[in-house]
Amino acid sequence: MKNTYLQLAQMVTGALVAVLLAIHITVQQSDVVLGLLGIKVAGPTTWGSMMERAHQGSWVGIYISLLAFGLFHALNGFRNILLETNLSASAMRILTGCIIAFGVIFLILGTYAPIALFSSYR
Amino acid sequence: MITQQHDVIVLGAGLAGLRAAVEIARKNSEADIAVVSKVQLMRAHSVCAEGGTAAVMQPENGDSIELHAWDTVRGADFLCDQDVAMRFVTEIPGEINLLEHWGIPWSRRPDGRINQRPFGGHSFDRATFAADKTGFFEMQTLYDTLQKHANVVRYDECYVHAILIKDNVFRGVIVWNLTSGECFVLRGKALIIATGGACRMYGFTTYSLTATGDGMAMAYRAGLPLKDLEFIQFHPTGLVPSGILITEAARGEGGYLFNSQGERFMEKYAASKMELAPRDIISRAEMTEIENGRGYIEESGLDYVHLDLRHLGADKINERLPLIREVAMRFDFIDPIFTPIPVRPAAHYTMGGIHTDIDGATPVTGIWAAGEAACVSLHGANRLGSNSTAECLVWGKITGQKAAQYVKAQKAYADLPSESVINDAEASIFKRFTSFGAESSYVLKNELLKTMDTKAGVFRTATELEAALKTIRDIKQRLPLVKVMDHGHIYNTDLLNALETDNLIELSEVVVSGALARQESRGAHARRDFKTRDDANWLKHTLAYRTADGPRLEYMPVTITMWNPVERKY
Amino acid sequence: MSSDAVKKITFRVQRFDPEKDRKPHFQEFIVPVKRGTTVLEGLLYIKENLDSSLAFRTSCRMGVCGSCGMLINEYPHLACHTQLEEFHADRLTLKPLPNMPIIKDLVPRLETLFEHHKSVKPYIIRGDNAEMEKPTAGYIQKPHELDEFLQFTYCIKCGLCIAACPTSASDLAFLGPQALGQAYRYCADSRDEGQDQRYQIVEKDHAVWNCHFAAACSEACPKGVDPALAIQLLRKGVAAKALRVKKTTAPALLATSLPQAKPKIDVPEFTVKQK
Repeated sequence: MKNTYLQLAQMVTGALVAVLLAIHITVQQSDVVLGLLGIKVAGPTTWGSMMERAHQGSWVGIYISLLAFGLFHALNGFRNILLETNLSASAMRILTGCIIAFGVIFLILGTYAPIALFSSYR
Repeated sequence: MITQQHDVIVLGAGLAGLRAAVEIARKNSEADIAVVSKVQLMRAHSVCAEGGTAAVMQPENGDSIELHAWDTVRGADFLCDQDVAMRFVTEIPGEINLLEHWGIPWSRRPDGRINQRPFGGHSFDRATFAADKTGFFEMQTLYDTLQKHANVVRYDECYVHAILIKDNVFRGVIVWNLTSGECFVLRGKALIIATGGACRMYGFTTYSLTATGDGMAMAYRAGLPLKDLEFIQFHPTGLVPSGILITEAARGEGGYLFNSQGERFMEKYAASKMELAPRDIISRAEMTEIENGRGYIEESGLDYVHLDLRHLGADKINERLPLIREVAMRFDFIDPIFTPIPVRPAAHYTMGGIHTDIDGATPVTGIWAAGEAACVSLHGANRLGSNSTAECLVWGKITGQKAAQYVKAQKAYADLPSESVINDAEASIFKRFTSFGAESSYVLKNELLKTMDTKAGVFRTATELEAALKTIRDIKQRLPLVKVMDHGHIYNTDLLNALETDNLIELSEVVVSGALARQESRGAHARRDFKTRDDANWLKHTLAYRTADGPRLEYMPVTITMWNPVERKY
Repeated sequence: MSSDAVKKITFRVQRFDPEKDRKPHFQEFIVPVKRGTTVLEGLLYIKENLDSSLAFRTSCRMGVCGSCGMLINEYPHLACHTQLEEFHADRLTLKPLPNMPIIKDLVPRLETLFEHHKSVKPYIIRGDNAEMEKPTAGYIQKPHELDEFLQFTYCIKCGLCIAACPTSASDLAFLGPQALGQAYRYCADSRDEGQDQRYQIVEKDHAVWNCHFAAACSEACPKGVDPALAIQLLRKGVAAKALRVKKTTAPALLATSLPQAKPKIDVPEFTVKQK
């Protein structure tokens, strides 16, 4: 049932990306977004506030999750599109391998940054 | 020429053909089976069967196989072989359960058991049904079940033109593959002919356009006798003007027939059975009403009576007769819930066919025939509604079993006839017609249809039959002068139509000759000049052999093992 | 039943003869029609009177055999089942069904449909082999259990759903609405035990998860089947299986045999002496 798990994960990650991305955008652009909603905030998002979040474990978790879910959702979706281009089964296998490699590399790279930042302030 | 070979060749992929193929496949996984069909599988005319399949499924409610046998024999006007009828009624309940196990959506009783409905000529409600698409669902179930078996090769859209026989042993068939354009010999140890009936020789018919009796015609040309071909069933409720079948189940569920004066005229003809009398009786009643000016006038000449379902109510019509409602609305712009349906007798079934014994074996070693193409002598002079799909299932199975046993014993393929015979057969496809002639196969075909409709219909006379025979022989003479415009080999339906017309003409000559010779009225064969049944002279089967001057008729006795003929009254 | 006045309609028909043409072209025919004339009858008129080389499939002419699917004014229909007056037009364009190769004129190649259908194991799968080989009675199936799958049995394999499907248009390996609908039909049958086998097949690439749910198949089906619904229900079943929340129900049981009753109607005595 491999495909079914992938597709269920696609749905779940889609929903999670939507939530996490909303949080990310709102916080990152808090003055703009919340201002539009009529909520007044103290001032623009600053370097300091970003660094502060980088030091909090929960935020690090949110950013790594967003990255992981986003990568999975985008790359699995991309593979679904490739499926409709009538490539041969072997070509599809090679491409799938490339997609997985691409995902893993970027996951490692992307995870490294916040963790490095987080640990450097310890 | 290329040659392919298979142990068994099943010719025709309707109910009988598919049932035979499934039987061979499941009984002998070693057997290599070819299913050859002029159309794609699942397009055969069997999908048009609507009402039901007769079987004794409710002994607990008082039905019995003897009663089914009696109904069949009496319905056949005693021309049925009674050992065959007994075999039939004994075997069919098993077939109903087998299809049930294979997934057919039989309509059910509230407790989940298989439901049955009343049908014409049956003394018990024993038509097993799946809404009003019974034949379609039976086909689907067999087709789907066939997908399970790996030892079946499909030859879709392959027209078989000739059967190769030498020393009374089957050798192979000549095939024209319509989609590739190739012509080849399909060599086999056994052949099962299940190509259906020949009522496309009539203009007003319930038949699919492709059911042109090809198998009967090629068997006849190959020297096999055709039996009882003069008995053509006219279904009482063909939709006017298209001829599309309005199932007998419409009357089984309670529909009435009315003439233009608002009378339920069946009172006069079959007071005890009314609209559920056998088909020959109702068709004659309708024609009598119409001829006496009590029908509704249709400008094309297709005068009609009314089939009234309004009192059944919307729920019953929607549940039990959805296809009938769909067809009436689609093709006649009327909704049977609110409006009566215009109907008249339409050519519906060929009681006769390729002569076989009780096992479906023809006189040639290695050839069996099943279903409407065959005449195992079950239906005699008139078939009961819901007995035909049943016959296809039973003799599909029997011929399948017999052929499977036969090929197991035959280690080697019999030799093919000489190259020249094969080349002649191929030439008779592509060189049968000219490219410079003046005749059109469509014109000739329409002439044939008109002749059969007007001169060999529900009622017959010597004068009309003689005139019909003359016209048919005239058309037969003109046929080689048909000009085929399409010269291609791929999907050349112009040539195919000419070949089909050739087949129909061959068979219509047998129908009319047999009818002219049979000087009595029995079942569906009603002579105005010989109004009664004549058991002393005519309780016998007609056998027609092909000669250069037309059919040579011989006769053989009817097998009577249970009931001597009595007056047939309903 | 009086026939209305005859009027003339132009049939613009796509022609392609594989033995002559390199690519398809159009040819126009003028066909007299009256109320009740179907597209098929128009084509038969052309074949009998104007150009007998025109190729198209037809058989039952009543919408049950599935032969005559074609693109009429860019939408898939059964020619026999389609009244000319539905179009309210003087011109009609006829083309073979798309998403499949052309054999000749209006005749498409449907082999892929048949193969895909076969691949989903469209038959009853059960463990009780002896009973399946030699039935002793029917299985019990209540009317409501029949209703679970009945509409999906109406499929006539005409290919209109595939012609309408946007996924089939781009992904040639997509199993398509016909095969997936039939996979569901057997999974939903209370007599069947083959769900798990079919789930393994339909959860692979180019199957249920690749449907975009345009539901064009359900709109095009001439027999009222809703393949899009079948695909959604298959997804539900496959997901429930993957998440191990599927309830397993035992397949239908055999009907118990009932005692033979006294015949309702007496059969006449045999009048021929029995051996």
